[in-house]
Amino acid sequence: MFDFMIHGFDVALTPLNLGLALCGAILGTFFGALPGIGPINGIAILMPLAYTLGLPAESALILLAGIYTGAEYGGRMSSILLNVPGDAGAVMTTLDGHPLAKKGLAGPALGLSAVASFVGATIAIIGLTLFAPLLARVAVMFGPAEFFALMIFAFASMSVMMGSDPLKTGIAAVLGVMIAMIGVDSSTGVLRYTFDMPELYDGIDFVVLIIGLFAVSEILLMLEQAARDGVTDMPAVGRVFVKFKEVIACRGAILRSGFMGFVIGTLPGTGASVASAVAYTTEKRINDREGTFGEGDMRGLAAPEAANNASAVGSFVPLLTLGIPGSGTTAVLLGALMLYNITPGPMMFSERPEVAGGLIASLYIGNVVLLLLNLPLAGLFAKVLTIPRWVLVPFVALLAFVGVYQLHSDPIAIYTMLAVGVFGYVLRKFGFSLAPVILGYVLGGLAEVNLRRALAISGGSPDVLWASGISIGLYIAAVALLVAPWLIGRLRPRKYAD
Amino acid sequence: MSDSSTHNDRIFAGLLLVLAIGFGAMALAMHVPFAYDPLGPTAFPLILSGALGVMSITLMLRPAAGTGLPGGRVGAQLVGVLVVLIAYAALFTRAGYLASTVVAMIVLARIFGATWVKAIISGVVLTAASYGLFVWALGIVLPVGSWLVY
Repeated sequence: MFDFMIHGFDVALTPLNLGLALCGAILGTFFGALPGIGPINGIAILMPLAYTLGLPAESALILLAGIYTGAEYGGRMSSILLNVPGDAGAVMTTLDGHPLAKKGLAGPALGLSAVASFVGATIAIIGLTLFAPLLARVAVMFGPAEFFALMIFAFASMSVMMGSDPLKTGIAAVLGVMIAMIGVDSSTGVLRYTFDMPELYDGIDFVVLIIGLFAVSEILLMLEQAARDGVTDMPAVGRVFVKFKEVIACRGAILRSGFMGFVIGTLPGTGASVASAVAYTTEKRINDREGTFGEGDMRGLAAPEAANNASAVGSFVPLLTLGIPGSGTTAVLLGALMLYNITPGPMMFSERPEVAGGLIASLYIGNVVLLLLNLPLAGLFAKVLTIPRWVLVPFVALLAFVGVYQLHSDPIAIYTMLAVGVFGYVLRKFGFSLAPVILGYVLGGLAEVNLRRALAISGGSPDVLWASGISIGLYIAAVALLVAPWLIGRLRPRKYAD
Repeated sequence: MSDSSTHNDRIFAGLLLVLAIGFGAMALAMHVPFAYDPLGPTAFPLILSGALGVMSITLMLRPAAGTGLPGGRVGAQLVGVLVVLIAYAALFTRAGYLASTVVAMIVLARIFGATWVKAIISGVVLTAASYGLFVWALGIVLPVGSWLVY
């Protein structure tokens, strides 16, 4: 049953792939540490370049997965040192991380978060190894009707778990699905929303969409942060060192959070931001007897760090077994796989074991590399935070232009990228997050295809949609997710209202 | 423009409602000669149109405060950045990578607060370093510009 892992380590341990895992870890930590550039932007920007290197699929994926997990490591630096989260997943890290840095404990805080991230990720990688092949076996039985039910479940879990405003999350997701409708309808040849422009016949390209949404909109958003540039008084990092005793004191928080992060990460549509928030509030409830959380409690730093790395790994479970992304970032990785004409899904473990196994094996290796890299070199990476925006912004613009030009050699694609970027910027200014847009784009297209396929097979009878136990189970789970927050809010005494 | 009032959110919700109606109307206007499946290509867009319609009306009734596009200095800079990016896109293939990039990098750095000296140094270094990395190290083909060819 674990043959794919033996195969996977064979693939991951070749010099090329080991080197790529190391490169990915370094690049990812670098991009994650850059202010405003999180994992999703980092992968979006680097994906086209990785593709043009002409690497085999599994090598490119190893590189990108390294960047993903590396960026989760790098994202904590600005949270701890500057109180500015690098991305949504690192918001909770600021709560106790920055107070620690202000107490002069920046080094131990960075060290502890590296260890917590390592343990959290390790728990999740073991979970992925054990759980993914099992889920893949179940997923083989999925027909179009079951896939449609799965999409409904994914949308339900996304609207509940992602972002603070379910209504805006829902609107963002629908806008993403609408973007997916553009182009030739593959089963009838009807042109949908192309406005007679031949450039739109193939739809809006995935890479153009994500670079526009995440890189270009970030450039525009940075204008408002530019004013803050001068006032960064960064606390000294010192030697990054954490005492064994301090790690042991946090063991409960780290283990619980790693486990929770993995479980939340596996839910489709939910990512690191939810996992770290749930982990932090849980630890606060269990441990905060003296009211030290928020004042620089080590456990309050370890919990979200373990959880967000665990959830980053957990979100590979639905991607590799069901072919649906578990987070915004894995949606981008799905796009990378599609560039290589690989459709992830249950068959990947049997048909492309070098891709599935190689990727999981490289996560084990990358995780060790990241820990070894981040303990001695954290001070060096922290220097990245001092890069002024007038260097950073032109650099990001340049990578975005070259990336899109590489894939399309067409100025129209660049204009489309800019238009998408403005659209993304406007959405963000109106309080919408962009991860639901990209998930809507991916899941919505799949939902339509599977719904129409299911109904074509049944000859139009909708009974096929709830004919199997798997489908019914998924619908029940979707309803449970939608009702749960409301129910919990009613049952719990309003003690924690603040 | 971004103040504590909620009318920006209401206006945006109105635009979304217009989008929903337009999206649905275009779906209804699609000419479908023959579909192999019972739903066809218009059913899903109509569902989306309805969903967006309902949600945008809900947003109109329950708008959040403090959203909106920036005005004043940031707004002007925003227009400036967009103009640079569009010009960069237009010149990217025509003037070639080196010429278009060095100009775009310098102007962007200026908008983001660099002095002329810093902007020129960083623009030239970024352009040269990226050209070396992409063309020599990674073997990527970048546009040389039509003015060099003709």
